[in-house]
Amino acid sequence: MRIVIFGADESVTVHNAPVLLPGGVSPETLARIADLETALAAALARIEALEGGETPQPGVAPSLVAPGAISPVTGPFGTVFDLTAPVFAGTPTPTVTRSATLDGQPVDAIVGDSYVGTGPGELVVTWTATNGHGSPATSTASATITAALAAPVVTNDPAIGPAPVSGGISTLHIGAATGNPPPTATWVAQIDGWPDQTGTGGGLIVWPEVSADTAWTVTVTWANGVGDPAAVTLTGTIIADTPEPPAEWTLIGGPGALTITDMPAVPALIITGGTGGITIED
Amino acid sequence: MTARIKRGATFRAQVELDEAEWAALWPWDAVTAEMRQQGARHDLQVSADPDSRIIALRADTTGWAIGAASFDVRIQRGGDVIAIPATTNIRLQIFEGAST
Repeated sequence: MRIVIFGADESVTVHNAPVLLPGGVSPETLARIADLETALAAALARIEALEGGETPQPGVAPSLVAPGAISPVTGPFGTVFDLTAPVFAGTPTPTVTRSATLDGQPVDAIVGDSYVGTGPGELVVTWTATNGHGSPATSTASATITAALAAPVVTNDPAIGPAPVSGGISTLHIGAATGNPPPTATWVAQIDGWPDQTGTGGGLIVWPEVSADTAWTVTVTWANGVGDPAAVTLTGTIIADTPEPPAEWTLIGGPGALTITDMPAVPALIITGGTGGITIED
Repeated sequence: MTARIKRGATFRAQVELDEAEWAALWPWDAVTAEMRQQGARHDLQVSADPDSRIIALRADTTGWAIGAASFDVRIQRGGDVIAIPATTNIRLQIFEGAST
């Protein structure tokens, strides 16, 4: 077998390798010859480029000039992490490849120069520069992806005890709420519709002395800067003070006079006198 | 030695077989040939002359890339696939000419 290749300006005859080489040549040897031919072809191409005017430059292994970076370095799930590619030097200009892992597992959610993929976890991006000279140069940057942001959700309602009374003191149990970042609580106590006391976390509420039943509210608000705050309002009535009724009335009678003591002022009395005695009604 | 041709020139090659080699191939069921180059493949036009036992190949190289390439011929006959050459590919180098 003979294979003839006709070029535009020359003719080259290429014999099939088994015909040209002595018998017994292994396929491995033929493969090695093919590799050498490839290397030779690359060298010829290089020579041709130089003959075409390209300035010859010695090969210089890649080196890192400016490291790559990820911004921000920490962010919740859903954050767009911008990647800044490192700068490598070398001759010829290195070819840079990029790979990424999340908690050690490969990820491919990098679009352009941004990562918007899954989380949470530790995002590590590695750039590798090669140019056929020396060892590859690398640059690595990392960022922490935290759990997704979440608005506050009340999981345990606040409570007050003991029940508010005029001039009394109650303890406010703030309850609990979840969210990311963790929400904090503030509260405001209103007496008859007017703000009276405020605080953060739990605490004591001192109730005013009131002469008439008075409405009160205590509103506990959880907030973390994400979404709407979560609020829970407790309501009730402060019962006004009432005098203790006397244990019993005392009647003191005598000639021409009748005295009643320890009698509450509130009841209206109807007193009827007569020879048969005295009747007192309320 | 690797053949070299200029990009844009018509690629022409022929495979010359002796009587025994030809008898193992002809008549075939199908014959194709491709040039493989940097992951791309270019179809080669194939024609044959049984009298002279020659398989002729031809292609327009205008769209080919600069650099190394290789080709072979693939023949199907009676359920068998026969590669020519059987143990290697024929290499050639594509380079840019001065004229466009």
